Parts: sequence; C-alpha cells; structure tokens
Amino acid sequence: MASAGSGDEKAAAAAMITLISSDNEKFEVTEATATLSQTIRHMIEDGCTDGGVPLPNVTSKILARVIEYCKKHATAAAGEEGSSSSFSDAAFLEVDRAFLEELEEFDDAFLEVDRATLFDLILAANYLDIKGLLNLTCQKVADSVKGKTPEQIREMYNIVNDLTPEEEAEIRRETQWAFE
Amino acid sequence: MGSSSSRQAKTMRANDGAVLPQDVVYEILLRVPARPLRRFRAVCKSWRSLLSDDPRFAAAHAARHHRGGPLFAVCVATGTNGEVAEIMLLDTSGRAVKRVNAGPSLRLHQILPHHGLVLLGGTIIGAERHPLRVLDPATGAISILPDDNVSHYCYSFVFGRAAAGSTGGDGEYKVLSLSGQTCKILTIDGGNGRWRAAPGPPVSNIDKFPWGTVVVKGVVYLPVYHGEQWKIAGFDLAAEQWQPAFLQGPSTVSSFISGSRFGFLAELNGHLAAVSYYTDSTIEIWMLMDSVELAMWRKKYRFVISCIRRFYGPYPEVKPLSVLDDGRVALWVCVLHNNTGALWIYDPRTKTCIHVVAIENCLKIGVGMYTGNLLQHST
Repeated sequence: MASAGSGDEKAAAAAMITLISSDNEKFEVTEATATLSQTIRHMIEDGCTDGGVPLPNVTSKILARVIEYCKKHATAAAGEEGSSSSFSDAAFLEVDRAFLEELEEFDDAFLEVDRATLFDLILAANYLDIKGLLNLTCQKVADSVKGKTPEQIREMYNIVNDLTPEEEAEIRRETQWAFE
Repeated sequence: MGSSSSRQAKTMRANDGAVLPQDVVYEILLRVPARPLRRFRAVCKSWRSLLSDDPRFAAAHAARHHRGGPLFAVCVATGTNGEVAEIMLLDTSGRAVKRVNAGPSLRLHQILPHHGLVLLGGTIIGAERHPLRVLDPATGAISILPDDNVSHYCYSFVFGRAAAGSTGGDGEYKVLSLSGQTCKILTIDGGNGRWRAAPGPPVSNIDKFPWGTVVVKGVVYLPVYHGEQWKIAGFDLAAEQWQPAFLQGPSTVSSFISGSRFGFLAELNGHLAAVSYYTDSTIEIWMLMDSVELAMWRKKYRFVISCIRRFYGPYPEVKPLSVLDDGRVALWVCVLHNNTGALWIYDPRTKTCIHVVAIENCLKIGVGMYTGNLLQHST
C-alpha cells in the first residue's frame, strides 16, 4: 500500500507530488494539497505517482486554479487538527470562526469567473473527485439558474427543446404557481 | 453509478463548448430549490422525466434540501362558516414551510391528512353539495372524488395508503367509508375511481369513532365495542378485507374510556400507538412494538402537561405525531371539538413538554404527518 520512500508520518506530510496538465505544464504540490483529490489519493496509495501524475483532462490554466483551491482548503484541514490544544475553547472558537469567514471569502472570490471557466472547474473537480470544489461550483451554477425561465435555461446551456407544444403547455398548466 | 435511467438529465454546454456530463447536471439540479425545479420540467424531455418521475432523484433532493426534520400537515378551516380552508406544512419549530389554499369549503366534516395527501370531506347543506376532495399540498392540485350519494353526515371516512404487497412499500391511496353495516371503498387514481362495496364491518356499532381511526402500514385500525370490551378491529386496505381477529389494546387500556381515563389510537413512526389520557393531566403513550399477532404493547412514555385542562378543557384530544431523530416526541393536543390546538414537543431526557405553536379559533383542524414528495415543495 505505502509508496516507496514515504517513511514515517512526517516525511509523508512533506512529500511533494508532481501534477502534469494536458498542455504538459508541471505543478509541484504537497501531498496534503494533492490528496484533497480522491483520484490522486488513490494513485498515491497505489504507489503510482513516481515521475508525476498526468492529468490529460485538465489544462494548466484550470489546474492552477484547482491547486489554488486545494492549497487553501488543505491548510484549513491541517489547522483543524493541529491548533486546538494551545487555545482555551472560547479562544479557539474565535480563531475558528475568523478562519471560516476567511475561507468563505476565498470561496466567493474563487467563483468570480466566467461561465466557461466555471464549467471547466466543475469538470476538473468531477474528474479529480474533489468533493468540496464540486459542491462549491455546482452550487454556483444552481444559484445562477434558479431564477431563470425554461427558455433562458435552454439558451444559456444549449439545450434543445424536444417537448411538443402540447406537452409544454400541459407542464405549464400543472405548475402554473411555479411560473408566477 | 447506478442505472442510466436515473441519470437521464441532458448535458449542459457553455457557449464556448465545455460540456457538462449527465451526472454533473444531476448534481447541479440536486442543488436547485424545489420551486424552480417544478418550472424546469418544461426545459426538455430528459429534464421532465428526471424531475417528475425519478424517485431516486426526489429522495436525494429531499435529503439535501430538507434538513429540518419531519413536517406536519395542519389543515384548518376558518371564516364564519368554514368557507376558507388552508393547509400548512409546519416544521418542528412551528414554522410554516408551505401554505396551500384548499379551495372553497363549507363546514368541512372531516380533514384527514395521510402521507402526502389530504382528504377533505365537506358537509352537504340543503342542495349545496360539497364533494369529497383530495388535495396534494406539494402542488396544490385538488381532485374531486365521485359522489356516492349518501349524506356525508351519515358515515365516516378513513383515508389511507395500502401496503404494496410483499415488497412492503407504499401502494394506492384509498378511502374507506363506514356507515352502520355498510362499507364502501374507493381507490384514488386520478378521477376514474368508482365506489365499490367492501365487506361489512365485524360488529354492528361501527358508525361512531370518538377515539379516531388510524391507518398504520396499510391497515385501518378502529376501536370497536365487542364482548363488553373495547377492542381494535383492522381492515387491510390492499386486500380490502377485515382482519379475522380483533386486536387487544394495551392491558390497562382495555377499556378505552372509563371514569378517569380515555384513549385514542395513533400512528407513531410506523407503529400502532394507543394514548391514554387521565383526568389528572397524565398522558401515557403505548406502542405496539412487535407483530400485530403477538400484541406486544409497550408503555413508552408517561408525562404530564400540567396546563392541559386550562388550554384544552376537560376532554383534550392527544395525538402523538412522530418520534423525532433525537428521541423527542411531537404531539398535537387540541380541544375535542377541534377548533383550537397546538403542537407540543415532549423531551423524555428532561421530562419536559414544550409548547411550539398554537392554531386558534378555527372551525375544524386536521393534523397528520406529511411524508409527501418534498421535491415539490416551494421554498
């Protein structure tokens, strides 16, 4: 199970992984950052990350953003484990809240992208199996569509309307209240 | 990842070409609130089938959007003659998650919420007929049931859902009408149903139910007086047959009513429950834990609501609604004539009962657990 050369716990935490984007750019990240991706975590566990992890579905532009997200959230995960003993409960809660607010601000700023980038981030999060990022980006799309009409949805996302006019009229009749 | 049929959502594509696969579209739609989702059924065929007909999607959506625990359907008729009926879905904090107008109503005789639907039985006054209606609180849709040409005052209705055979799931909704020696049954199936004769009741004095009827796992239970004792008769809504043997109530509740005590039947988390109310304001809740054949009643709760008489008079009706995940018990307590009632929550750990929300001065109130398709909630 353990990969060659990952001796004790500390060495494992500091171990670096190389990620290779579809356009052949290399990114060095810590294992803690990389393992936010379940896909990469499994590769590490199987010991097949020597020589770098090729990610043929992710461009360097998107991979850089994904790594930015993972770094921030990996710090958050490490902070939760490490810091509690040195604070009284109240002080710890205070720190915790400040940090969570900072993380929320980071997430909001992170999502300030155009629709195409957002879709690419979703695809990368889905492929790399990064639950937090997938949730964040899917929620962003959900929030942006919830006020839209069916016509606007079709136009925004290139969906062909294959309902007959009769079927569409029936749906509208059944759910008149939802259209008001 | 499961069968393709439950992941039929069509792909979404941004204008410059990135295409989101079906499983991601599924994830996105799971995060959209219910009201716009109802509207999005008009986007295309694959969205319509996912959003209308996929029970797995509906269940996943419910789990994500409804963290507030169970909902109670509280149906009230107000106005001088009860012309206005409204159904509210309340959460455990007493907040109305949804309100639905039940349409023109006049002196509703019975209001029976069950699972995802509510049966409304109107009184017939002179030539003015108010047929039985079934309302779906999720959509506001109302179906009018066929008339069976008997004055509604002459008999009582029971509204429940049949068990679906050996799978133990949920079957069709049915209405059982009981009047003296006559029983009739109707399947709710979108307007094509007709009343059918059902086997007559096992005892003759079946026309009054001061302690209510209740439907548990597809079986209607009602107290009957037989052999100088109160017992419980069962009618299987799927087989449309009376059960061959009467069920004994809990030993101390074998008389449903006596000088200092009276009782009600209720459904509690899939079990038949019997409630004893003592005139010293003590409430006991018994649950039938094992098979109906063994009739193993357990006394699960005993507590006092000290102010119950002041609020609800000498004959309050106590209806347990649900044991919540944290072990607390939600109860509906009301005046027997049913015009003022309140949601209470009993906490067995602290042995305290908290008043959550009151509904006052209505003409009629009907209360039950709401277990309908939460995907269709407005938000």
